[in-house]
Amino acid sequence: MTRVARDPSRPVTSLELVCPAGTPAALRTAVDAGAHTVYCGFRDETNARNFPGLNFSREELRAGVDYAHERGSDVIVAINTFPTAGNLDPWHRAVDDAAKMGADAVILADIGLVEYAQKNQPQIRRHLSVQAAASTPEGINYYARNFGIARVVLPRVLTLPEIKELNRHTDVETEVFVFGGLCVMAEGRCSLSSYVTGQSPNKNGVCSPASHVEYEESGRGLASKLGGFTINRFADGEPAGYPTLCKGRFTANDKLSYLFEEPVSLNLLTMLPDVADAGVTALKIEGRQRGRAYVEKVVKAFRGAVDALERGETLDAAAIADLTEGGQETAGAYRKAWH
Amino acid sequence: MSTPPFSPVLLGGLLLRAIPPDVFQPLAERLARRLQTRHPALFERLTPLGPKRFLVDVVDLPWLFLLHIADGEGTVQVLKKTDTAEVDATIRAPLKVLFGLLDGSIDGDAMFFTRDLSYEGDTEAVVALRNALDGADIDFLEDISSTFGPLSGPARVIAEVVLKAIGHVESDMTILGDSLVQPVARRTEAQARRIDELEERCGRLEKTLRRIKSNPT
Repeated sequence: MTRVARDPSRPVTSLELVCPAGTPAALRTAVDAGAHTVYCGFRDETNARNFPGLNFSREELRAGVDYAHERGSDVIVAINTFPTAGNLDPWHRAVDDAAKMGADAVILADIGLVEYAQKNQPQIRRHLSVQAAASTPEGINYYARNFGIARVVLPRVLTLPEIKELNRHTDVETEVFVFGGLCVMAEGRCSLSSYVTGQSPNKNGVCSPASHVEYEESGRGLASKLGGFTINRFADGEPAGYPTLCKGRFTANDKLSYLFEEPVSLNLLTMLPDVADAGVTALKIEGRQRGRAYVEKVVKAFRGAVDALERGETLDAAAIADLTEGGQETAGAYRKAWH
Repeated sequence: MSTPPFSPVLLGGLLLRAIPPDVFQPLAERLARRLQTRHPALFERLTPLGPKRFLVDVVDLPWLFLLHIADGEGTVQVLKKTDTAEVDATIRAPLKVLFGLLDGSIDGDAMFFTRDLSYEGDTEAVVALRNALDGADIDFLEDISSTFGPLSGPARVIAEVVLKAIGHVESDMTILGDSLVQPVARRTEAQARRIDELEERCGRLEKTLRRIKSNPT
């Protein structure tokens, strides 16, 4: 399945940069900064960044699609949460409206919704969300054979050699995360937020919903609380992170540590030649909840790197470290240093 | 972050401390109305939250700004630092950071990670405000200067010149500040290195102790 670029001047063999937008202003910023494709979501629980004040109305999406298409960029709509039993309508409407507003593709996680899109809006490309956690050629090919999936966003649990091997056994385009926040669990299966707040990214589109988060400054530093539980405390001057349970700091065996994962961001900027060599089609930047300044800086850095790679130049690590969570970055599972 | 940065804004604020906040109130009101007219989407995005009151503490200025948003409309009240108000959330940051958040040139999460921005109270309201501001495409200089009516053009030029001058002074003050704290910084770095060594040593001792405990013979 060959990707057809909207911009005919762009070779389809190049790495496609897929960039986040939480607001119409961020979409325009991403397009202007060089995004080949922008992904966004509607203002409801149908997308995994269902945060207050964020996301697009139907009219805003239409205007955003027009803006992007006029400049040769694509727009993808993330409908990547799992519908609740007996309440399928918001998800079905999201698929229908994304198609109606002229979006180029939808990112879907639920297998039932994938089938709905195939049957009711067959003209729109279907991308399989990272939330679907499809990580084997067999699983991916099953989705392609039965539901015409054109692309899969790979879970952030695979090494680059594994991705390369996977790409040898599937014609489905693969998209990998290259920058931004990391989830510790296999995507689509984490219930940590739900245990404490009753709401999860999978069902409600929110991990650690803001309505359950508190920050308290005291003589002992800045305490972050989720659902009334203190999950971390930052000393004065220490970089802070997101208030998610997986990045909480707890005492076990008399030792205070990050039990699951440290607040750290993924950054594969300098590994892009290896990513390209692994045969992936698209590079995804995380962060629809981040501001325009983040979008502009990260998109420019990665677009510069993709262009440099195409010209055969050596990649220069851009100064985007200040945008990372906790001021730290990692190559995650792509360059696995553990067993 | 409650300690203000050593900046021209801080020095200017100290000089302006004696001016009562009422003097700035008309300008604040005009600005709020201007934002309302030019950026209706900003308030529309906040409507689902219901009425909310935010106290914005510009840490390097002697005033507080009480922002009240309800039914798609917003008002601003300028207060003295010592005033109190019942609010849903308090946001604290230097003026430069707050301006950057308003015009989208600074990422709010990054400022929070580095602790240049802090808040307490209703997190949902703060996140919504941040997102709504970021999505509003605000050109703050344009919005401020446009409140001067026919003089908006010259007002913008003056504001740009002032900001440029502040930038230069800030750079000079950074050099001055670095020079003043250098001896202390050196001492602190030496102490930090010493603490690292001691921590490493403690770790080794703890490990040995555990080994002895688990294998007493």
